[in-house]
Amino acid sequence: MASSAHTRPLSDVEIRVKALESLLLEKGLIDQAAVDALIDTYEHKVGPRNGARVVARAWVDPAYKQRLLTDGTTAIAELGYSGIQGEDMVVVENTPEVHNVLVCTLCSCYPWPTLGLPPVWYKSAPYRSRVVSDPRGVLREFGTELAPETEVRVWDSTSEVRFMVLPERPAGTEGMSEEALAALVTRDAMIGVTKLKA
Amino acid sequence: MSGQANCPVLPNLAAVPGLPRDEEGAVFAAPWEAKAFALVVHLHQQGRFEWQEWVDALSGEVAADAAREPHQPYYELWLSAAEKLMSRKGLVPAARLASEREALRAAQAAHAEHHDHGHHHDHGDHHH
Repeated sequence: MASSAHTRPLSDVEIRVKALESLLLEKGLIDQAAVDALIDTYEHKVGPRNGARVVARAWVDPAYKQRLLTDGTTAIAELGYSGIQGEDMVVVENTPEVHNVLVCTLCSCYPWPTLGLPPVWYKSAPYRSRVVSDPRGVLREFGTELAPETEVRVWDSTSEVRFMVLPERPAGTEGMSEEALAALVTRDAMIGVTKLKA
Repeated sequence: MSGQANCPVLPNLAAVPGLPRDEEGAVFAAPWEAKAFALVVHLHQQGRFEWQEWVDALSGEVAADAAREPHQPYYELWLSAAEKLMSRKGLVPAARLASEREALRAAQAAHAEHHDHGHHHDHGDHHH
């Protein structure tokens, strides 16, 4: 097995992009914030939709949900999605009793094949530290109020394991098609900072 | 978010040959693709080159690839076109780029070496 380094090795093409970006930054030709903002604009285009389809399938198919919670990597691959770096996916289920939220405290590991590009705040130092020290406070800033008796679990990504939250199916969605359900699922809910509404 | 006073308009993506897109705009298969895309769009928005210059540069790569087997992934052509345009415009000399890549590869190899012999991060399910 490869190293236990927190960050996986960059592919050759990623090194090319990074080299270009570093030199453009060094020469002051680009503004990091503006580039990040542009990427932020496009982040959803890589695909939280994949994750949304996984969630909708789990809501309508109890056997699939069971497989998803037992072996996330294999169940997600059933729908044709996989992490090209080969990391394992672990899916954690939100229930009225337990609320899960994701972070990567050391860098910004993120399950992008299912959730798309990470939002800029996910990579920010304040989120990475505060979601661990004060998860309820951070969730409140996202508009998510949890009942005092709800247990909050914070999952820290590693280079080998990426987490994804299976949000609670909103009330009032009985009888909706799988496709319509998938359209309700947001990236933030799969990170665990928000809850879904019908 | 970027702190810019006005939001620059995106260039005409329809003019870009072969760009993977849906009705809302460009789509990507991986984060590095979005970054390669964003770097080019940003440099254009900064006035470093005309959009048509970029379209011509990329068209050249796409045409060369058509005559080649196996074909390269689209965003590798995009990146090659960007590297060549940066060099031609004197923004990033090709030699600097090559040495920067070598430095990154060397740093990565050294890092892997360190970790193969070293500690492992005790991670996982922090419950709070």
